[in-house]
Amino acid sequence: MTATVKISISDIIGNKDAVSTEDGQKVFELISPLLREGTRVELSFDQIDWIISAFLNVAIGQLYGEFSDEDVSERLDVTGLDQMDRELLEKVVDNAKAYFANPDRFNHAWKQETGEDFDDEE
Amino acid sequence: MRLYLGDVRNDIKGYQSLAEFADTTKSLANGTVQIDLGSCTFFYANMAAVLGPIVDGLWVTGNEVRFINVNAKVQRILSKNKFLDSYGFPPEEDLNHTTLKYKNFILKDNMGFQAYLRSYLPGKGLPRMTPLLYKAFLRNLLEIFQNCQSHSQSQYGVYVCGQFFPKKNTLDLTIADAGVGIRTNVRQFLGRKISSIDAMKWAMDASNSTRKNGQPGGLGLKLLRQFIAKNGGKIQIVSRYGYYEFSGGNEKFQKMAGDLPGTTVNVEINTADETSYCLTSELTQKNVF
Repeated sequence: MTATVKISISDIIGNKDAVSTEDGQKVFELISPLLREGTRVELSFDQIDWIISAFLNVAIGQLYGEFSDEDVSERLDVTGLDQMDRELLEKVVDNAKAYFANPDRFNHAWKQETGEDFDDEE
Repeated sequence: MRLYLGDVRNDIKGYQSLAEFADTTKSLANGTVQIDLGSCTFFYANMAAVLGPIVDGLWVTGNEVRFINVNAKVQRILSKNKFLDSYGFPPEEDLNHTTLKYKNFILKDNMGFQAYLRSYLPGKGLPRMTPLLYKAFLRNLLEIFQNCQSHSQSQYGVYVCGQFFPKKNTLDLTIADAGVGIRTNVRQFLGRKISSIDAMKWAMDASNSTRKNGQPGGLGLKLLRQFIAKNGGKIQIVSRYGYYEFSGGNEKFQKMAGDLPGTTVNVEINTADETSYCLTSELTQKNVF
C-alpha cells in the first residue's frame, strides 16, 4: 500500500490565511507531482483561519485539469476543515469539474447570446 | 478650479453623483482644486471609499486638493472615518465604534487587508454577530479583495471604508479599486466590445472568469450572492457605466448616467442575522472529491 504524505497548508504558505491565488499555486505545485506519481496526499488545513474560493480554485480545483475525478478522489484527502469550509471546498470541486469538462462551453454560449456591439457608452 | 459635490447616499444616485464628479476631474492637471461640499448635507461614510480614488487621481495629475464649505455633520462623518485627516480637519473620535475607517491598500497588500479586518472584530468596530455570520462576511470580503488583485490592474490600489448603522442593524462595507473595470477585462477576454452591463452579467455567471491560465474561477460573486440572499442584505456593484443591485432575492442592472472608474463593491449585511451558514452534518460524512 502506498504511503500517505501529510502536507500542512500553513507550512507551505507561511500564513494562517489561505486567501490568495499565489499561495494556492504554491500548494498546487507541491501536490500535483505527488499525485502524478501515485502518492496519496493528506492536505491539512489545521492552523488555517480563513479560506476563500480563489485559493481553493488554484490549489485544488486546478488538479481536475490534470487528473481524473477518480484519481483525485483516491489520492487526495483533506483534514482540518470545519463544516463551512468543507462546504466551500465542495462548491469549488463541483465548479472545477464542470469547468474542465468543457472549459469553453459557457463562454462560447454567452458569446452567441449577446450580438450587439458597443464602441462606447456615453 | 472649484468642483461641487452634492449629497452622496448608498444608492444609484449617490454613485452617479460620484461618477459625474469623476468626469469633471478627468482633464484637470497641475492646479489647485477646491472641492466644495456646501450643497452636500449627507454623505454615507462608506462612500468615502469611492470618492477616495477620484481625489487621489487629482493629486496624481499634479493638483493640490482642498475641501471647502464642509457642512458640520458631513465633516463629522468624514473625520470619524479618517477620510478628511489629511486635509487639515481635526480628527474626530469614533466613540460609538460604528466606523470602519477609510483606508487605501496597495494591490498586493493581502496581509494589510487581513490585519484591517482583524482590527475590527465584533465589538471593536463590527457589531455583535454570530461567529458564522462573521466568518461568512469576512470570507466574502477577502474574495472581493482577491478579485481586485486578480482583475483590476489598479494603479492606486484598493480603497476600503465601512459604516455600521445600529438602528437598522446593517453594516455597509465598500471596496473600490479604481482599476480598469469589469468591461475592459471582459472585452479583452471575449475579444469584442460589449457594454458595461453585459460585461457585468457575463462576469456574474458562475461559469465565467477572465482568468486565462487554465484555472477554474468565477465563484466569488456567486458565493457573495448566496451569502447575501441568506443574510437578507444587499450587494451593489458599480463598474464604469454599469450598476448592479441584489437585495431581497431580486437583482437589477441599470445603466449609469456617468462613467465611474474601476469597480466598486458595496456589501450591506443584516447584522442581526442568526442564520446557520453551513449545511447539515451529511457534508462531513462524504468524500468531498
